[in-house]
Amino acid sequence: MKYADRMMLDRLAREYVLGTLRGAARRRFEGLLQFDLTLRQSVREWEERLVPLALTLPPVTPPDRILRALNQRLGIAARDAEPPQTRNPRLWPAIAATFALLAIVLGMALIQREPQPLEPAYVSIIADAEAQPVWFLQTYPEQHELRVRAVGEADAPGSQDYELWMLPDDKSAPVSLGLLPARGTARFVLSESQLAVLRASSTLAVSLEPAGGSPTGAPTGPVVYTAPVVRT
Amino acid sequence: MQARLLARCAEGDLSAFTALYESSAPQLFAVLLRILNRRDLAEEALQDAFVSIWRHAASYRAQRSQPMTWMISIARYRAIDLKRAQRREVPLAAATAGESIDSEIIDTAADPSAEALRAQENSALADCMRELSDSPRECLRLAYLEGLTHQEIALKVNSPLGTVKSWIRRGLQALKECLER
Repeated sequence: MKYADRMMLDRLAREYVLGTLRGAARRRFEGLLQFDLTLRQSVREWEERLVPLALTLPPVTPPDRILRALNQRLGIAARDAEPPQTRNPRLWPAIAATFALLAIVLGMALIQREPQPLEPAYVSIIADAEAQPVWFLQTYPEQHELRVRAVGEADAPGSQDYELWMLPDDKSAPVSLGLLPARGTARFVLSESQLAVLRASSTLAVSLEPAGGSPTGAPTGPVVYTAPVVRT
Repeated sequence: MQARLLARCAEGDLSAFTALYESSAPQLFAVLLRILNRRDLAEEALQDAFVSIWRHAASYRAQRSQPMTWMISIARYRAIDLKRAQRREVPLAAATAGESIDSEIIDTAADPSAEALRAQENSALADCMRELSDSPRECLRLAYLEGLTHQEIALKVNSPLGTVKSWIRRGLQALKECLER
């Protein structure tokens, strides 16, 4: 590339970082950034040069609800990454068969008790009043992961969500695990403290909450299901 | 330490994310409030920025930028985009009329870490900013901290657009040369 072009690109980079490169020019520049390593380097250098200005602003503590909303959003994000579950009714027998297979695997896991790398340490089946399973849960403490599979379709009424809670055995306050998927599977990343609570809980509960989950961090709606935590 | 937290975020560790958030969100929020000048928008941008930080944690390279630089940049670019979308909804006259920065926004500011603040005011950049004459320095601050466009800055400092553009261009060049000395 010609030196003059490089100079021009560096001028764009500095105005991009400063924020004065706007509109279509900004979009075009972002397009160039995808492919031009030198340009990215130049943007990073300007970011580093100017950032002390941003650091002169006194910090402002954001409201607590932001972190709560983020945890919900990121807990659910794993579900969005799963391939979309088909709703084709002809696949129902396949889903039923899958569940039967899961039940067998679970049974074997309970009998074998052999340490296997991908064996869940805790399993729960959340079932409705007719003992029909609604969600199947497996926890892998090594991976800090809770996998949830909606067995059928579990849409909450209205624009509400189902939220999953641990009920600690010492009767302390329920701790949220996240929002349950209406269909398909979800993966929750569990923190060390969530895992500690899970180890000390023999019961899970599902409550009906406003869309996005409980605004208070404690269950606000009715508890619609409970299920034991089975240690494998 | 934040670099290590980012590495753990890349592995999907939500507890590292919480620690990272707690150590950096107040500074990012301050930057966003200043650019967006509206609490609700700043909260939205803060959420978006941290979702982006989580998703892109794997592409963060410690040898290339400081963690705070990387995160503040993500937040600032999000705010600039949001502000642009906002401008299209609100006619310019109304937008400038609503310019009274909520004093409430400033009042709720957490105690600034005085030492950190002094350190930044003593940064090489601050020294170089002081070497600029008043108008270019003011233009650069309005652009970087308030997220204003060339036109908005021209209105605010009551100077022709072409003059503002050249103040900014020359101001940036002077900063670069000063920082390289």
